[in-house]
Amino acid sequence: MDNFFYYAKNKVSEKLNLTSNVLLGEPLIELYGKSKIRIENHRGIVQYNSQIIKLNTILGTLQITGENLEMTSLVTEEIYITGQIESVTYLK
Amino acid sequence: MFFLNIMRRIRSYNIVKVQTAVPEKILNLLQMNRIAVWDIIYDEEQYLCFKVVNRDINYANQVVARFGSNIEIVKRLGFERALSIIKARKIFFIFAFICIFAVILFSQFIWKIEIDGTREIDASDIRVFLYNSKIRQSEWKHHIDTNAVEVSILKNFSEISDVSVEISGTKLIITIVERESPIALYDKKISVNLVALEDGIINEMVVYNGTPLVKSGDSVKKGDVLISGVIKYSFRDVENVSYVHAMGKILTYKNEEIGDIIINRYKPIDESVCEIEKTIYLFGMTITLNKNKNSENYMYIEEKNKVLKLGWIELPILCDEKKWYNINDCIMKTDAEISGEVYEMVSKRLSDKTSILNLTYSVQPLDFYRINVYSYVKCAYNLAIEEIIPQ
Repeated sequence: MDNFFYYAKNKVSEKLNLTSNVLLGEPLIELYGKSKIRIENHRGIVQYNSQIIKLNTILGTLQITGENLEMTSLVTEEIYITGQIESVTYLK
Repeated sequence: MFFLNIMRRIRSYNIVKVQTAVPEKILNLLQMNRIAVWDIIYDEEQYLCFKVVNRDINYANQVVARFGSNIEIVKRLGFERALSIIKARKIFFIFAFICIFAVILFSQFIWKIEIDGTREIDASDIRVFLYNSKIRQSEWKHHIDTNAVEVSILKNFSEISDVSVEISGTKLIITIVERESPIALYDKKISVNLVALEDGIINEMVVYNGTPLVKSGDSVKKGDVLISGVIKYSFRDVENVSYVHAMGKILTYKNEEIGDIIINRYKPIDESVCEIEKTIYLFGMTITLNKNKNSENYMYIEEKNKVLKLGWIELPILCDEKKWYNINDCIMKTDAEISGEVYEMVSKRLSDKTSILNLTYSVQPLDFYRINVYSYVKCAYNLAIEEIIPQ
């Protein structure tokens, strides 16, 4: 059933030319250079320290690695991370 | 972000610290409870530091309590914090408020009257005039009509050709432009003759504009036209007349005796200390402050019509000031200095229509520090004065 809804939402998004974060709840990631990242639509923090931050998303775990990582803002489904960002990857 | 920070400041926030091994869980729970936190740092000693608004601190504490930990408030910031500081330091802030109020209140008054540009006119005369016109220190500055003050000064001081009165802060600044010579009584557009002010012999004359009717060496009587503003000329055999503003200098030499100029033979050294004696004239009474009793070996320098000051505030009271110096702290003036002083005082005694050509003087000692100077002066006196041509 979930797959059906996901499929339906995906089709509607495609037809209406919407970005996937609007209907599907997929994460929206904005990377500002190497020092700041903004993530919308995350589903919780999995791990947090100054080298690694792992976030749960609809597409799996999103891992941000770097040095001196800090969460500068944490509001509902939106997170700002600053620091020396080295990589942003989805874990399998 | 800037506005968000301002909003947070207004709403007030706390910097808090929680000791936990599971910062992710606390943060997730805070987020699920819609408690906004920011500037999150998790250090090596397992302390999770973040900022949270005042309103959410209790909810955040409840969330953290579920993990068997407590929120420790490190610092309170923002408007509410400022209010609590104000409440704790009530007396200080009341005093500060009173001070600010007093500054604003007192800045609504005139506390100083500055008179600039005076040369021949004594500034104290203008001060006295202003005082009598109810323009004084401690006057409500919004009551002073600067235009009306300008007009009244111009009307009452014929020697002034232009005056500007402006209020700058708590100062009333009066800038005066004196006439170069009282000969110029009328505007340059008005046609005038130059006539003799009194009887005399013309020793020197310069004509700038108009028709000269006299020459050097002529003897003239009071009222004689010296330079006419009427210019007659013929154009194509037709006689024409035009009227101009006659201008020129008609000088006669005079010898005058000016006696009894009292001058100090000594002047104080820069570092010398003085005792100030003040004579205040208040409501018909004469009050002398710090009267100098030990006048032996002491000399004084007197300044008349000074404005009395209380600290830096000028009071609307005039006083005479005598500065008493010990003669041992003074040095004798040189002949050149005495000559200069005599010249200056003689110039003041002569009218401003007169310029000194030659000055000789004799000196008599008055007491141990003063001399009486008797001067003989040869001066050039401007005979001419403007008179409107009747047409």
